[in-house]
Amino acid sequence: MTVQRDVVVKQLADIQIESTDEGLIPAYGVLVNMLPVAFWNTFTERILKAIPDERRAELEEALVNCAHECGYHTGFGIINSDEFKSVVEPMVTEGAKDILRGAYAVFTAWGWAKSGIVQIKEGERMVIRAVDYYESDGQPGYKTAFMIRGVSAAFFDLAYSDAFPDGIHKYKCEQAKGIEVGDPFGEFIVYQNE
Amino acid sequence: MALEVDLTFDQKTYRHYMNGFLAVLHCHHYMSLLTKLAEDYEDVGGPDILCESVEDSIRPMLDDYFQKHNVGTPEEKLKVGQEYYSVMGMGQMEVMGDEQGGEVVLQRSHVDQGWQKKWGGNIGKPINHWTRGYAAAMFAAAFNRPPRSYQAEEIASIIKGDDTSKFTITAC
Amino acid sequence: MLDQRNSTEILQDILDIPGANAVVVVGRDGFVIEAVGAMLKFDLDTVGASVALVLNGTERMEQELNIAAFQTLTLEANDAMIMCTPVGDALLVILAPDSKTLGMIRLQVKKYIPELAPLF
Repeated sequence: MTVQRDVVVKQLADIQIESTDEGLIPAYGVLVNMLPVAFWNTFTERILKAIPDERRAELEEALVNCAHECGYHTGFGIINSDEFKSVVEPMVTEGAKDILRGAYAVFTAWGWAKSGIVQIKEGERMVIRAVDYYESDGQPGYKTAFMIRGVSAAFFDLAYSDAFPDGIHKYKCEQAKGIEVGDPFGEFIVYQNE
Repeated sequence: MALEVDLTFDQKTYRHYMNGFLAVLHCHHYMSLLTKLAEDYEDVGGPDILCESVEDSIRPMLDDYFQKHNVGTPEEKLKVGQEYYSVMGMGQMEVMGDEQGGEVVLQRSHVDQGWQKKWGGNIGKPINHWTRGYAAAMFAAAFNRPPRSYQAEEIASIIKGDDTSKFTITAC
Repeated sequence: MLDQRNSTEILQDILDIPGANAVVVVGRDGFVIEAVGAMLKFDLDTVGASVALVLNGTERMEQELNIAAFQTLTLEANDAMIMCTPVGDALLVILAPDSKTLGMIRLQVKKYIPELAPLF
């Protein structure tokens, strides 16, 4: 028995995300928003365009870090949520590996990326592929999946680093391939931060 | 008038659509960190880039809704903008004004309350560039004017300790 | 020493085996990691989900009967042949329109497994 991602995706995608009377969406221990993809992509594209070349790498790391911290905190909220416990946990038989499989099913259900695990070397390395992800929509000619990079590193932190909240940034993630640069899929490698 | 919201999930691509527009769920950590990033890159125009990115991505959604639901008067259009804001989880907004401009008051704010949840109190200046852009889009759409026709300034801020956040909107 | 080939190159070689219409690598959770060839009448995501479902059932059978993990799983139907072989932590799935060339496929595929397995 292992996590069956189609079951998880279908069940979680059916959960209605609705705002309260106060216009907020509290869920998974965080405040959730549901915004047009165009906003996130436009902001990333324009700020990258505005930055001088010599500061670009630093800005890209900052963009990745936004998602890393988000993925770490929200990821913790998700894997401890009632929804995750009822939908995913009954299928978990391989410990952290299955938690990660479940986490990527959630990642997919939330509309971040149709993605999954290619390979896990426990505590060392993980390879992720995404066959459809919103960050590739602009086709800017350079790799833009900063959000997937950050969240993937965060998920591996949650699985194999020190217990929450002390385990963040043990791992980092690089993008090896990208739909936005002409590859058939995006590929992401998570490894230990030096 | 209750906003009609059609949320769909594409079973093939696994993407979400809100009234036909591609949308995605994110959390207050991500919003707070991107807002902070915009602040950190103020020297290259970070806050205005954030503000204008909102204006340019929200405007098509509003225009589309007005057209499909025959929303005709500016008052009705501002009301739609107010309700869309809440549906997206961005907070609770009151809007008043005319073609010359107006005021937006936030009783609840995802950006400010998210920031407080993440980092705590007052940083001495308002940070809700997201809502500045939203207000500009909402007024421009309501009065059928091109982008950058309105400027929003945050004059009171939950993050600064005020009870509500307030924005004055001025026609350029 | 030869450079290690990537998974796409290896899958393309497997696709050249006579009778094989499509070659798919599916994660244990049903995620379709990679696919080459023509999918016949099948939807790729459904192939992944179905393989994960069968895998779960097979593993349960192995436990109940106290037997070792399967090496090959073959489904022969009138209008399709589906063969699954573990590669690393994933499954290599070969789709064919019928089982006429099953023997050849089984024989040929074996030589690619050691090269493919470390990638998943």
